[in-house]
Amino acid sequence: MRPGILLLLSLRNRAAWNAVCDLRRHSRTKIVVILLFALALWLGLYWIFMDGFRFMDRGLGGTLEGLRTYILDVGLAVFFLSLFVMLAISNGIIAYGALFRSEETAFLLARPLRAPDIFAYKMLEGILFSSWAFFFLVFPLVAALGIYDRAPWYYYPGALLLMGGFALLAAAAGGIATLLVGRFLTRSPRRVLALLILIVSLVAIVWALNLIGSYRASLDRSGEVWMQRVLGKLGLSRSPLLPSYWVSDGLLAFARGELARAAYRLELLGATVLFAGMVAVHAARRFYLPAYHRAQALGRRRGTRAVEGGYALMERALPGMSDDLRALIVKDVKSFLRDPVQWSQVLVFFGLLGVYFINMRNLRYDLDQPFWKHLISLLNVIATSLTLSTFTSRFIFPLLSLEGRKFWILGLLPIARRNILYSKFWFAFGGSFLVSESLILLSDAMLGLPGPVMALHAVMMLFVCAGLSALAVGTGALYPDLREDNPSRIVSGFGGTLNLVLSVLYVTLIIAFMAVPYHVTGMSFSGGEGLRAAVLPGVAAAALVGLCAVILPLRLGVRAFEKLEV
Amino acid sequence: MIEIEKVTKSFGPKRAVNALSLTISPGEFFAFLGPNGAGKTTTIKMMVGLLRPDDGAIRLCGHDIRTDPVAAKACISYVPDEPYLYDKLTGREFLEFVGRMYRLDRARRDRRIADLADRLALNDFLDDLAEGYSHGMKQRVVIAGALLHEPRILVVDEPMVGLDPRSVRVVKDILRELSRAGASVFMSTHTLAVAEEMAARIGIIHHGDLAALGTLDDLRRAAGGETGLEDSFLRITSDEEEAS
Repeated sequence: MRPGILLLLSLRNRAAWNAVCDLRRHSRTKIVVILLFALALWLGLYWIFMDGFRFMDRGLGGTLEGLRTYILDVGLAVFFLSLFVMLAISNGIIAYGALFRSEETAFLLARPLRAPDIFAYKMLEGILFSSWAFFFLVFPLVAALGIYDRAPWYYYPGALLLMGGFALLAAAAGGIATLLVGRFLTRSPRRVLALLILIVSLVAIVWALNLIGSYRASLDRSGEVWMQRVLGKLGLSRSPLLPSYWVSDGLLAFARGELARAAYRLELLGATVLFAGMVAVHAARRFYLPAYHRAQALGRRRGTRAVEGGYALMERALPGMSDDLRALIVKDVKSFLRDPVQWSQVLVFFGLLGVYFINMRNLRYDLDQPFWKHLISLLNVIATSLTLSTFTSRFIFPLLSLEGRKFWILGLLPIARRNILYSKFWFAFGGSFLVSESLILLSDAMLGLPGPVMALHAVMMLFVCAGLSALAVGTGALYPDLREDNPSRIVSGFGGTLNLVLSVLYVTLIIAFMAVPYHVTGMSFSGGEGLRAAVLPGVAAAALVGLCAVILPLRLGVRAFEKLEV
Repeated sequence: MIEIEKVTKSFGPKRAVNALSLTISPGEFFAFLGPNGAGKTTTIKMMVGLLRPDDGAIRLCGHDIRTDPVAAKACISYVPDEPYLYDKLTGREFLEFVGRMYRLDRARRDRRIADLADRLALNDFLDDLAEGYSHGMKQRVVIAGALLHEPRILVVDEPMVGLDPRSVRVVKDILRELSRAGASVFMSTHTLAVAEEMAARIGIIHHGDLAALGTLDDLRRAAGGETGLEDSFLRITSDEEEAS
């Protein structure tokens, strides 16, 4: 490794070591709570994967062993392909901030260091930020697969190498893409990055529609035929040209003791990682500095007159709020909409859910037995709520911390500090309610569920949105990091982790109280007294939990925020 | 020596620096003045390689910043207006890191750190993490980092902002010594009194053009009278505004 990179990495190691030593200043309870949450989450994932393997064995073991193996092959290939796309995008987003916008990069570029060394250092740093969640998710899977299949000992080091290579390759892909966008495209790299995310999503949507079409065409055939058709469409993820397939295939080969095939996949991945690394270094040598200069020279444009008019209209339309509160909300809306990387992520994930919900009639779910309709609607509610919880954790929790250096502006305003917090709550609640409520009503309408069920789901989403927004705003005020201007880092701290865990718990509770009783009993009841008896206590319990989730975090957050000294 | 040759830089339709030419000799103390948004920081960023000129060339100690950036940066030091430190490093660790970037051997690094820590009164906090420093403390550590390798060119952007009066005096003394020892000092500032007191030559940039260049006396004459730098500055820049 080049001396410049080694020097920069030694600097990062020293800073990391100091941060670890600094942990002593934090309360031990806090550290133990984080570790326990992490362990619980890890064990939960491990259990889910193990149960999945058992389920497949129960359903497809014995005579259908070949089909089980095939489903596992395809499932893992799709899983790693999706992860590769998401990791590459995540690396691209992180690399953009680190390469073109960070103060540290400006500091280093004014020193006698080579630009490719700074690029490599920033990329290695970015890998840590973008890949920890991947490793956290994938290790329980690797462990479950190894233990369930009684894999040989070399499966574990082999899996580790495969996962490491996978993360490096995704980082190289994201980094190279960011570099090329920064160098060659004339628009703001941030906008282009957002456009790339949308294009990738569009490809995924087209693929998904194709899959749905194939499923629909084979609905009238036997189960085995439609399964083969659907798996055939997913077979694209098993293209021998895809590195994600080398990883999934290599992993299974290691697990099954097929050492030669596993080694071949590992070599293929290793060689590609080295090649991608070389391309990245060459690209950095040629393009990084010009791209950096271009990024610094880009002007910042305001929105069109129509968009500005839209903001004014929104400000007038906010009901029953004081002027200052409305101004604060509109400020946050503008900041959000003018950051393409933020809104594009929301658009992609909720857009994918929307496309799926719209196509439920094509999947003929509306004609299914009530059991399946209820199950599907429950799963849709769960998917929307959990997606929402990740977004409030990612975008709402760091809102207050991101005021950071500008905090004196808000701090000096002649308004009650609590209004600042409330404005962020209303911003989060308004946005999330609008999106998730529309999605859930769309899903129910497509499934042809009756009015009372739709009303139940509507109320449930109201509770979910209010609670998640209050949790994110409240914990954001309790654990602010006013020095950090990178949202990814703010979110990965203690407060961010706590908020995510609390959000998932909250969603679980609300769904358990409100949706599960109806969906379990709804399969046998057709309405009337029995249904009311099953649902009403759950609604009351959920309302109580919802109220607590709104009032407590906001009250604690306001108290902490009013005492906050900058 | 700093050689800026017909350098131009635009941001979209706005021309921030327009065909700027300047030469700062070894040992010269040069003050760079201008109203907000006149092009001072853009010029500095081009000098240290953070921006690339659309046209023209910048040579530092004979090395073109565009074609030979590492050699050019090895002879220059830059103190930005916003001091940057790593929060999770102590001041000493930061200085050691900077010394290693400029390839100072351990003995020289330690000697220089000890010397600068004494002069800039850093010893009380140098072994604390930088996240607890005030703006002035950060600024002093950053200035120490910039002086560590005894640069042949020092570029400073508002070096006195946030410093207490004693530190201001120390920094002024250090900058003078550096200049006397043969280094070119390029200082951008809004504090006209400091420029008046320290600079041998002053340049005023306005709307991207070099509106005036010379000694204090030259500027007074250009402004049309025996006035101080403040009056000269206001006259030169307001004349320009009226003309445009």
